[in-house]
Amino acid sequence: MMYTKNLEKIQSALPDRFRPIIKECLNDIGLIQRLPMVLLPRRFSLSNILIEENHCHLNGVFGWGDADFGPFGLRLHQLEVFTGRLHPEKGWTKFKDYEEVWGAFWQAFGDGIGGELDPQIVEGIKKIRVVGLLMDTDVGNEKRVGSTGDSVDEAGKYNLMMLDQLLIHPETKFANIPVIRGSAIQDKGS
Amino acid sequence: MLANQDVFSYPDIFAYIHAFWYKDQSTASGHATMSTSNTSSTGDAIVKFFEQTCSSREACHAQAKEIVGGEFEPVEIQGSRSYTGYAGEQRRDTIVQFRLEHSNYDIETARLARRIYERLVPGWYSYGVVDSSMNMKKHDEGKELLNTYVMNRLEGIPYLKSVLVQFPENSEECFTWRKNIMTGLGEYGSRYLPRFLRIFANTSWIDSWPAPIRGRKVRQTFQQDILYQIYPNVVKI
Repeated sequence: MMYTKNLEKIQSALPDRFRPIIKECLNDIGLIQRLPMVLLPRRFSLSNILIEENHCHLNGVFGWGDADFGPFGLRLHQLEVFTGRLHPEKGWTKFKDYEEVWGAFWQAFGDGIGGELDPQIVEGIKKIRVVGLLMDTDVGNEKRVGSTGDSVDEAGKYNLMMLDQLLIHPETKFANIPVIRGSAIQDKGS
Repeated sequence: MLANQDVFSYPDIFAYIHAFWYKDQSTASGHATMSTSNTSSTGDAIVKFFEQTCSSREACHAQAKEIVGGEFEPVEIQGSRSYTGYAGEQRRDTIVQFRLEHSNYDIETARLARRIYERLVPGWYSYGVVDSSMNMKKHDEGKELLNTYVMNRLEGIPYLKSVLVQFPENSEECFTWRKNIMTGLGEYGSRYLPRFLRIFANTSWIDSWPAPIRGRKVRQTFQQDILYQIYPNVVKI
């Protein structure tokens, strides 16, 4: 299985508090496998998004030379960087309009697909978002995080902080993904 | 809707270039993105870059001029594996990039991205090796060849240089701007899904891969087949 092995490795490297979250992903691996495979740039970051200067509309996305294929949602967590701020010590804080802008994101997404997204696909997206974050933070690398979950270097410490904040801490964790229902075109449904 | 065009080819690049030429900006940030930087750090990066190659800076400039015309003007921030600059007859509307051979771009993937996301992705064209016949001796000594890529310059500024980064993050202005960018990203994210969902909603995608496909050898061929299934209007095999 594509992600099972990775997840198991990550699970054994992380403290127990992450176990239920990873277990949920492992249980739902079937949903992840049903997600569309899409073309993804390696990284969505503040420097490879191009915007129109006056109103900040999206004008371009760079980084396609080493793009690859993955389930839709694999790099969704990278967009968090547009909706919050990272402090060197405090870690992650959401901007005040965090919920609102993510609402706008999913509304535009729904309008784009022109119909309601199968709730099972939404569930799969929630899980792959977590998997993508875990894989990006390189926590499966045992040199970074000891088997007891103690970070053994600065990068490991930082990764653990990010994971705590994005996956566990109630004030900073990922927003829920709403029912995705576009208003543009009414699809016949699946 | 996905574009139904032929695969991006050489003459197309000029059409794209002129469709997306960078509008000259008079604001500070506009200047900042366009100005030639002669700071020592940029200069050092460029010198270091050319130490790894068997091509010269002059050869690159000449190559850029030959392809798109105009004087080559290096961009402000250079990557460690590439040398990039603006070029083009009048408007510096084109970006020419020279990349070390070990960090080549997968031009087919970049083109596919262009076909799916259309105006949000620059059009790419690969123009081959810089003066390939002249410097094989250096190449034999371990210096790398440079490959040339040409892309159209999209209008706009990088998010990092935008007002969003300069304004207080929780100001009303930022709320509006942030909503705009996230709406754009949401639309962008929806571009590839409709067709796919109809075809594959009830199949387990990875389980349906025949075993040999999981091997690396045939991955590339398979990828093309998949692409054809997912994006029939986009990919031509």
